[in-house]
Amino acid sequence: MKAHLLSPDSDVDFTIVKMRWTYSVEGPPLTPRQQALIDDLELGTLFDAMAGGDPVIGEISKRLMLSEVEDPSEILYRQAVLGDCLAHPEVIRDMLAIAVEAIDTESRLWGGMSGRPETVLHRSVEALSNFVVYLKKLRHLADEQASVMTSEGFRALFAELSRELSDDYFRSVEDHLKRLELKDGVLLSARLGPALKGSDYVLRSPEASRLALKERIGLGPRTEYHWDLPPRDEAGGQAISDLADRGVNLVANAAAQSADHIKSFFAALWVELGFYAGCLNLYGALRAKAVTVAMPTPVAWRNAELSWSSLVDPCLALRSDSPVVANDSSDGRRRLVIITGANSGGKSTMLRSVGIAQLMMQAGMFVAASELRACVTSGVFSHFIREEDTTMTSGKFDEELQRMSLLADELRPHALVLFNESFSATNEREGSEIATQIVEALLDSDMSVCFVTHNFTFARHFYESRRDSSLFLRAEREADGRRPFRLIEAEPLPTSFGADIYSRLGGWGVE
Amino acid sequence: MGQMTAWVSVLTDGAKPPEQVEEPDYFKDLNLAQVVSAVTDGSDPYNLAPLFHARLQDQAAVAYRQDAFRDLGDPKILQAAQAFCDSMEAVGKIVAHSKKVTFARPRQAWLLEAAIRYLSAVETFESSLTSTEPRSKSFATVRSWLHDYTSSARFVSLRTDASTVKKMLDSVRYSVRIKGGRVIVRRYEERPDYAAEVLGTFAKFARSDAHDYRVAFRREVDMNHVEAAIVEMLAKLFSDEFAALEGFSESHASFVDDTAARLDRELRFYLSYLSLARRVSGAGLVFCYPAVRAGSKEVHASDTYDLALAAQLVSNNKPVVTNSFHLGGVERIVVVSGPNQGGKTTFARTFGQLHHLASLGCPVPGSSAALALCDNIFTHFEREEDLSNLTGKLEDDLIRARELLLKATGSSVVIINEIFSSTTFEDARWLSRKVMEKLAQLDALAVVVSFIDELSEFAPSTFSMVSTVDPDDPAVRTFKVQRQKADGKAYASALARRHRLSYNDLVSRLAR
Repeated sequence: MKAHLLSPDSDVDFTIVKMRWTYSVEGPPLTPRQQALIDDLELGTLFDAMAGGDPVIGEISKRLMLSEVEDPSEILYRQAVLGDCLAHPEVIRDMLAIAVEAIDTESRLWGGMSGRPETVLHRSVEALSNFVVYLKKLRHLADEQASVMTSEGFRALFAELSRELSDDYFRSVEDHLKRLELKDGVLLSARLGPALKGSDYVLRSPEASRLALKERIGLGPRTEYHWDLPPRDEAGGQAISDLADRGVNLVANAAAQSADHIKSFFAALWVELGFYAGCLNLYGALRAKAVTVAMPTPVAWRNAELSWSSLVDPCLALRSDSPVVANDSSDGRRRLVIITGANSGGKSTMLRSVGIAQLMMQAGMFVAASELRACVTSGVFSHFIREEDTTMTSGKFDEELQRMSLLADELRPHALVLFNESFSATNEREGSEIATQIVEALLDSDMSVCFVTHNFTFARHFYESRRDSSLFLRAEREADGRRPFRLIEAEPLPTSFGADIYSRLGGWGVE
Repeated sequence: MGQMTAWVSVLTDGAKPPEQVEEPDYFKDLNLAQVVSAVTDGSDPYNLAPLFHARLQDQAAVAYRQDAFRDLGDPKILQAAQAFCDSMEAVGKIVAHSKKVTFARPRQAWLLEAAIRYLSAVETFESSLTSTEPRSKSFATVRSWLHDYTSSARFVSLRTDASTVKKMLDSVRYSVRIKGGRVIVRRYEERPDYAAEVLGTFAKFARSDAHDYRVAFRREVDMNHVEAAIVEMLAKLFSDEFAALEGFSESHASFVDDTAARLDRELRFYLSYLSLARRVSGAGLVFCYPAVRAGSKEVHASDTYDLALAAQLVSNNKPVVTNSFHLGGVERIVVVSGPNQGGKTTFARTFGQLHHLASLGCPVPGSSAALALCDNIFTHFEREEDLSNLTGKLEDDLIRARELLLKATGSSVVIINEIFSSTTFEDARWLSRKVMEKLAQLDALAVVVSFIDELSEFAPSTFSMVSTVDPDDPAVRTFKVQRQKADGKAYASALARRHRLSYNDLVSRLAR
């Protein structure tokens, strides 16, 4: 039995665990790629908004947003579930509460899951009894709400709950929990293992056996021998209970695993509903900032489409007190976006907007745009110049190349690679030579690239060789030096940014 | 038995293989001690080191082992030998253990277990070798010995007795009922598995990743008295089975054949070396069978490397640089110079290692090689200690050099690594020229690592090799030791290539 609100057939690679008094998410550590995306796209703001004060939801949202779904139909599947959630937020919040409470009450039971098998058995029976209570609540909710949900994900879940959790099923479970107390001792079957030690112990359903009359009065062949523990033989007592434990071990393991499985079911429900709760939180926060959101249109990779209307960087919007500038693009098929132009002209914001929208789309979420069409990628990668590097130029350039080389080890076809002022820690001719070779190699390896650059030689090369399959955006500055932060589609221009910097620094009195 | 075989050995034709307990003098300098320790896994329970210390003195003996190594290149033969040694090791452990067991019946059972494994080890080895085509005299001898041994009366009766008793004990099934302090033992009667019933009830929630809550029980070496009491009750319920076990242990108390035990050890010489070779080859490095000739001066090796260093680098997932050398015509002495930390010492060690390993009959690092079967190997490496007393150090250097040069012959291999560095340049040059003069006179094969690069033009028999740097980036050592140098290029593109980010590099990396 599984929830499947995220995908009809796959699971997430993390789960909820309790550490002392609080819950957190446990899974594989974030990859360098994911960590770089958080830093480069400044995603912290977005995860905070999704958390809405609940760190577990924030953590769930982070992991799912950074694990891009590669199948367009799975994205649509999530969009439908999210549609149900936006229409009936209270149902999602009620179900989430049941899942959280089921896990929390279980975690408060006394006793451990280690030590003697008998202890494990007892604790497991308690846990199973606890879960039965919440399974019943869930069934009840499913019975009541089944009619209002329209998405495939919710309909399948509710149908499964009423089918699998029947009244008959609950009766048979409760019967089992009683028998597991093992009031009549234990019966084991065994074989002779190495050195005649008993092996292959199996606990058997107990049954009282009676000896034949002949044997009882000492006449027939003996089929049974017994041995009694002498008084005060402590070592013997220990040995006997160790032997019994070998049988109880198996049934305790079975009960403990069953309890775990049910717990995993609730934990998975927590994760899946938690993600949608995070989406609801973000929706509220963006609406409060008057940001337009819409479900994007994921298209197959081969279509090469990329276009948007009223696209903003949601993180910037959430941090900003005034409305942020939204950008539009023409329709088109393109694998390469090159963003050039004036400093502080909104180039990085544009790059982030594209990256974040891509991640949100591939998490099955709405995007901060009125419209977005984009190919489904195999993953988003970022290579941003690192401001904190103050080492000598050669070391910095070496570091950039090293980071690129690490990316190359991970890149697969259909990846989207975001570059921000990369390979600029050397002179223009060398920087352009290297950047050109890298980008050509990526495009020829069936990937797409979005590159913010000051390097005119580099930008010009692609304007001349790949104009038809690329989008060239330019950050403009107006005559009075004020920047509109709105980018236009235009060819790269040879800009001299020395003057920019000179004036930004205030100059030193030489015109 | 059929025809009498004189002396069955996989290491030496019809004789005991040579062994040398003491490490040769040059072992530490050449890091061969590390190689042997890597080969023998450090603890060396089979005492293989003496076999790895003893160089062979004639070409036929080298060929005998190279042929055996080649046979082990056949995965079937290799697997057969490995399986035999693994099983023999297990047999040894069980026999040793059985001697420590207190209660009589389990002791008998351990002996039976060991005998069964031994039988299967020998039989499996025999049958798997029969299905192969060994070309070496070595494995042909083993095969015929195994054939004779497995059809001998002694072996056949051991097999018959062991399998009869084993079958009887395996058929014993019983039940134990525990309630309070009473233990009741009966023959087994069918009842349902209780744990399976529980799991079935909750099966609908089952996931693949179930945690195992089974408590791990201590594995006691000895039975406790409750278990012993259960076995005694079983001995009454199943009296024939237990009597048969007792009979077996009396008639087959020591069952391992001497030759089988010896072959087990000798095979490990090959297997342990091949195991190191496999580990190193996993990183793309190769081994080859060198042409080994006594008195030969035409020596060469391609794509070779220091085996000790390679073993270490490979286990740390670091790349290994290979080198090549070729001494032809009148060439006898390689003079190695170049920047420090550039691989000069490694190159010198490699040259020495190759000659030692080749004279053991082992495959050596490299894609092809021809080496001399030398009468001895002499090394002179700078000693790290005693730096405080420079005069003492120079004297020590000279004493060792003298000793070496007096012992070496025209058939020796000599490795001299950075000596006389504790004195003035003029001194060092003068002394070094004296050393060169003697080496040239001896006509010995030698590698001399020296900062005095003019030594490379000392005589027609000398030539120069240089540890090189990246031509595009002088800060980068390539660890290549070559006859020539190259020139430099632009720094940035050198870096890009170093990171394998040129268009061609990147496209091929992304195509994987």
